[in-house]
Amino acid sequence: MAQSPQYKVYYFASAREAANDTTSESFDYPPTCQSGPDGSGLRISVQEVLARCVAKHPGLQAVVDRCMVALNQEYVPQGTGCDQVWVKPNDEVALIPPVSGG
Amino acid sequence: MSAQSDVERLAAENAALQTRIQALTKENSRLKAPQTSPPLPDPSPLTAFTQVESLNNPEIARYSRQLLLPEVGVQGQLSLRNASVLVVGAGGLGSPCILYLAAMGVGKIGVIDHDTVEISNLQRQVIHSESRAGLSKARSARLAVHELNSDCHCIAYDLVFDYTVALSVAAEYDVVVDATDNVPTRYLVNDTCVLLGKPLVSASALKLDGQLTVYNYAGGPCYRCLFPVPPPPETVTNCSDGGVLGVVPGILGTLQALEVVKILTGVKAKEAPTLLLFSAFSSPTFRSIKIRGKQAHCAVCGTQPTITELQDYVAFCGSQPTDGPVHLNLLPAGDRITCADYHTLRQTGQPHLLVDVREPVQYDICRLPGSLHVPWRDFAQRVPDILAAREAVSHQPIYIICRLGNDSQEAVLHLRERGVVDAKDIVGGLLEWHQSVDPTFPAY
Ligand SMILES: [Zn+2]
Repeated sequence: MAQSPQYKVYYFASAREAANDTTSESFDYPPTCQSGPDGSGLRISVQEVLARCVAKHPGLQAVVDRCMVALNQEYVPQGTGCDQVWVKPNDEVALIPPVSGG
Repeated sequence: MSAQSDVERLAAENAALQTRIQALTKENSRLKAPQTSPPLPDPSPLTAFTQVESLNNPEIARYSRQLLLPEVGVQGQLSLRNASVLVVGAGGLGSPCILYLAAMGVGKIGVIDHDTVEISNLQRQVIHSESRAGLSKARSARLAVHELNSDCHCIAYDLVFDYTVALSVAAEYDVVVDATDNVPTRYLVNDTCVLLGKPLVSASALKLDGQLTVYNYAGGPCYRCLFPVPPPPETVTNCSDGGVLGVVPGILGTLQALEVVKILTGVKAKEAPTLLLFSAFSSPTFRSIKIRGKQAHCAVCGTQPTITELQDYVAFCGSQPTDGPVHLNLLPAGDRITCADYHTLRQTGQPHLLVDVREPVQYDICRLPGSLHVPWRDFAQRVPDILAAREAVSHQPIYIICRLGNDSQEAVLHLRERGVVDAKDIVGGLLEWHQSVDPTFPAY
């Protein structure tokens, strides 16, 4: 049986702890995202991805704004235009908070 | 504890106190001195650092393995020989970085650090040694450098890298390495490098994770471009609270030395900027994130910077420039009990319930007999367990203990909110218990 389309989120350092020690997890697209009968053109904004992470792990609320966000190993500036950057099936989003120890 | 280890401990304590007295005496005379220009440290130079036109025969013999590499060769080695690098922090990251820079033949290395060597540093800070416990880290690092490579012109700055000295010290160097352990100093080092136009090789390490980036170089971003707002202090974990696997900063610090070599030999300028992520126990261990060039709206390196001079970084970050323990004061004195008073209460056999809220790994290290273990992270769900246990001792008062006396206050506040009014925290936690009640109780 074909798996439903998903995107994957990686949590690093303190974001991993805030997400209950989750290293990575896959998310289904919310029903509102279904665009075609075959699921083609399926997409969700980076901003909504972050909101869904926080909804699942409330501990992320305190760290998510200060995280660097990467989509498929490439930096996405948070804030401006973040609602216009799209996450497609099998894409990888990473939450990377600054580590400060040394 | 044996008499010999007592003597060693006292000798180390004495050395640490002597260093502290020296620092305070110096600070005192600095404060008394008329304020003209920012005070420069005593860099204790041997002779002035001079650049050379060519390598001499001992240098050719010593660095032959590098001269044989086409990517380095005579020109690259000469670039290292004539370069100066400032390493901010001689801790877990700085240790291997400084050693490798000295070993590979970097001509001048500045080391700035205000801490003194402690035995608990040595599982990761491999530039120091047991025999140098109590000595300033900057001076200890300089001793190690001179043992390894007496040709290296190493300058030890035994002082805090703060906004009063940052510009004057960093101006003397070609490249700056951020090997610090706290948030305010990271922003200070970044702004210093942007204002002076110096490349910044930055890394960090905590627990099993690390990050590495070269900032402010070849059109790349600065630290503020990626992290414009400092993390809230309560979400920042430091090595003394969260722990760190010794080799993790070792790997990141070694990579910093590599990045310095790539900058000095001109290789780095051709690379696209990246943030390297290291997670020791994850797969893959390394990940590389492509980052963009400098952000036009960046407060310090952008097109219209609002930061044009160094500022108060402690206020900006809301945290201290140290990775040492933080002591919060969340409760009125009446809701707290000192270790000495709690000790008396235990000795006189007064019935009570002791709750220890530390993480399981810490509870495994040591605990007071008869305590109920409820980790702070599970505390809210487990309040009913605590109340049941307290009924078993006929509704007697609750005392809460942790390592430093911060989480225990949070726990008392939480119980207050749930209507439990006769709970108190033990001031200073188990570390204070070790210091003021029972020196044989383990300190970590
Ligand atoms: Zn910037």
